[in-house]
Amino acid sequence: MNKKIKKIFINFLFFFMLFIAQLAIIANAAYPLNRLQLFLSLLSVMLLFNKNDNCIWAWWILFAVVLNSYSIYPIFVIPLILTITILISDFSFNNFFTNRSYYSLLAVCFIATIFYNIFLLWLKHILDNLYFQNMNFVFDVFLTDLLWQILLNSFIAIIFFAFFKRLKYAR
Amino acid sequence: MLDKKKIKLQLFFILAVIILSVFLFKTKNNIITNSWPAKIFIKIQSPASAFFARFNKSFSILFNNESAQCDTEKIIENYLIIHNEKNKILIKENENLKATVNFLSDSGYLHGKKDNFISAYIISKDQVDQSIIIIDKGLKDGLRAGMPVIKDRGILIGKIIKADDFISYIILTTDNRSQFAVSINDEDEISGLACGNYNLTIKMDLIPIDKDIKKGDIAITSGSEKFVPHGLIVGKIVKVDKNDNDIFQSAELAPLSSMDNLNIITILKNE
Repeated sequence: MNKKIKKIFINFLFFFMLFIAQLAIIANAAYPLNRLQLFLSLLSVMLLFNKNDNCIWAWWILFAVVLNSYSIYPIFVIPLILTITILISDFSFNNFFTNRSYYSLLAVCFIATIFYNIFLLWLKHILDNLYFQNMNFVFDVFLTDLLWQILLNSFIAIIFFAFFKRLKYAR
Repeated sequence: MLDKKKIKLQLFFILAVIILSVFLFKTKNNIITNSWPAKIFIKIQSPASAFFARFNKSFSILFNNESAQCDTEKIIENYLIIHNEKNKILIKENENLKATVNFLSDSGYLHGKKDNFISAYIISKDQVDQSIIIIDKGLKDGLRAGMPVIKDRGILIGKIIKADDFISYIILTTDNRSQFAVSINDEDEISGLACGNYNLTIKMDLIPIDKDIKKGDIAITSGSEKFVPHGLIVGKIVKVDKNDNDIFQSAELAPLSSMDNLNIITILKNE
């Protein structure tokens, strides 16, 4: 019982810190650092390490709901897209990149970032047309932002991967 | 192959997300940002965000400095540069606030009409659309959707599009989704509709073709909108599109103040 409470507390603390980092630090950073989606990097690393911990996905969804509450868009946008991203990344990792290597990590991180951004753009496009009848979209800007995001997410994911790997072997 | 247990659990999570989303979508108010933990969080976050914004500014100056090396003298020099830049940023912030206070004083917001404006910190950005900014004041502070946001000497930078209990969301004038009723050179006859142009400039449409406008003219708010007073500076005309066969002409405006690195802003509460 104590172990379970400890695990819940650790998970809560981890997601709270991630939330603060994403909302207070990264959002206020200078371009292109503010393009970083820290949670996608961590998600990619967790997909490789936490294969048997199904509870963690419930935490991810809860995190997405709280993150989406700081937005003018309806509350289902980030949770829905994050769920689809998790499913696609998990499926691709299980079927195409089964080993726990840096190449797998980079591939999963790349897939997660691409799908997250494309689905977000698609849903935003629908909602913008519904609410504003106008859209703030320039393809070149989107592409540049996406490239920066892939680079930064992969870089951070590699750092976390190295850290987790060392932690795992240390045990 | 995925095992059955995992598929079941994933389906359960998807179902949970759908139910949670429908429940939260149906509730009129944002129950998460309107809760008391959110209030505490915002109280902590606003000074933290201001600190990180200042830190980022001074760090980016250091980052751009070519002479960044590792010896002690350079470290001290870099420390002094950061310290100096921090002071400069504070002085700039102070000047902006002074300019705003002067504008508010001249416009009668400070004398007689108490509580007609409020200053707020920018705490974050919308997590779905990064061009929308979040401030640490909301409905409880008297803010409503549609209220204008200014900086310096009455330069309009955007308007509130949504207000929760403790936070509000601001759309900038350069955003495609923002629209303002404006007039040129304070002449009632030359009025039109200004809307953002891909986060870069402002486009002004529906100006009658017979009206004479030229490069360098200043566009100000016409005052015909609810909450938005007359006389706030929207931008300067940088290009005029005129075709004699059309009924209307259009113009491109450049904002008079940078929309980057915003830290403290003022909201006018004209009810």
